[in-house]
This record gives sequence, C-alpha cells and structure tokens, in this order.
Amino acid sequence: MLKNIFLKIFTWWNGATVGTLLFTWRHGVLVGKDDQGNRYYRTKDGQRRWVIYNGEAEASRIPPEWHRWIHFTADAPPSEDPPVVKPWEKPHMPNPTGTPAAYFPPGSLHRLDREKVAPKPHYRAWRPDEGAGAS
Amino acid sequence: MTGTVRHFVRTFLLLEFLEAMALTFRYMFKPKTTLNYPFEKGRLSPRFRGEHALRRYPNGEERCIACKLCEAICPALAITIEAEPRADGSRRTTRYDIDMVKCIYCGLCQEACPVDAIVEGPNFEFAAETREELMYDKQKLLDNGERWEREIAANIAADAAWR
Repeated sequence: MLKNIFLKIFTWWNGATVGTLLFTWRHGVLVGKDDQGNRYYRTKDGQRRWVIYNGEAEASRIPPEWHRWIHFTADAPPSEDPPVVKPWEKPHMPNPTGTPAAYFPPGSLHRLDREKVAPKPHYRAWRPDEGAGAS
Repeated sequence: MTGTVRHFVRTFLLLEFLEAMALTFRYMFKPKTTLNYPFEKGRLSPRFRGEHALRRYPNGEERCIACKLCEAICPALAITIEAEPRADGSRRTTRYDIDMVKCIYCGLCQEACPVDAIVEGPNFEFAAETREELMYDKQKLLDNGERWEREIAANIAADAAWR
C-alpha cells in the first residue's frame, strides 16, 4: 500500500505520473480503451492526445490501430472507425527486447534452438574429388 | 562620459542577468512545445519510414516474389536475398535478411518493390539491447507484417491518392 504510493509519486513507469493524472482529471475526455486496458484521452479541442497505461508505462504497448490515432496519422479513433482485421493477423506484441521472448537471428548464441536453425554457411569449400564444373 | 556611467550602472546592478531571468520567467507561462512521452506521442505522416515488414496478400499468401529489386537498389547494401522455386512452382525467397543497423531508412526498397511486399512500417520503437537483435531474418519481417498490417494497410490507403 505505502509502497504503491511511493512508486506512484517517485516513478514514471508505473501507470501514469501524478502530473499526467491531474492533467487527465482536468482536461481529459475519454476516447476509448484497447484490449490491454490502456485508456486513451484527448483534450476538448483535440489538440493533445495521450494514453494512461494499464500497468507499466511502455510506449510500444500501444496496438497498431490506436498507434495510428495517438500519432495523429488518423483523425478518427478505432472505436469510431474500426480497422479491417484479416484472419492471419497476429495480436500486437510490445518490444520484447530484454525478455525471454526477444528475437534473435538464426545461429545466435542466445537461441535455444541454435543447433536446429543454424544459418547456411557463407560459402561451400571446393573438394578435389568434385572436379571442375560441379557447384 | 555618459556611456561609461551607463555601462558601469548596468554592470554593477547585473541588469543583463535580471533581463535574462525575466525572459525565462515569461516563458514559464507560454504553451510548451515538449511532449509528455511515453503518454503523449508526436505526429507521424502515413509516409513515415520506420521498422520494415514483409506484407501478405489478403488471402495470407506472402507477397514477395524474390525479384531482388530492393536488394539491388539498397544504397546501404543492408538487404540479402536468396531464392528458390517453392514446391508448388512459385518463386519465393528462402532467405530475406535486413541488417537494421546498416539500413539508413531511405525507403528506396518500398519504392522499388513491384508487389508492395517490403514496406517500412510506422513502428519506430524497436530499439534492442544487443546488436544481433537488429539482424532481421525473413521470419521476423513476416511477423512484423502480421502484427502491423492493420496500420500499414490503412497508411497505404491514406496515401494512395498522391501516388
């Protein structure tokens, strides 16, 4: 309880900062919510758009349809203008760097399956018994 | 004579310091140009060139036909492609690597692509802890395409009238 209060006051990565919450309380108009529970706000005149994260304040947690709105690329939020979702699309994933889900290229020492997916060698050595012309 | 006196008074009373502080004080009441990142984010064009993605057709078939135009035009030589005919006879890449560290994000690959397969998506928050995480292979690029397709498709549609 007390720990949470201290985290709220002195850190910025747990939910929103106190200043952001005060600004939201004074000027925020709720626009919508995404699947992860992040809440999106705008000012009455629409000049500023912002998000209150549900949990860790990690910028890459914003899914693509809201990403388009919060960056002012689109005027209408996805709650009014829902995106066309194709069946093969995957759910949004925040930047996984530093977590076990992080991407590593084939052959990287960080990959557990590096024996199975080792990349092809850059060249294949010529052997005398192959003769000329064999590739 | 008067010039010397004026200069002495200004120097002695630190008037220039006070003027500068008054200017600073006035700016405290002006609208701020800074953004409250990560809660608030900047404006992006539909043409923004960020992290690469390989797109698919609406039926799920991958678009890239391994024509290697992107590899040829890439000024930073960041793209590596190897191709083979697939089991059903269509020409596809067996390897599509982009070195995101070499890439200069010029967008020539997506200009060169005849089938809109390689695109530079709207994501710019793909910073990584290690360098090798930025050596993207085909699987990672297709994965980006599957996760960002909603926004990529909407951005291409928004910009189509000017192309």
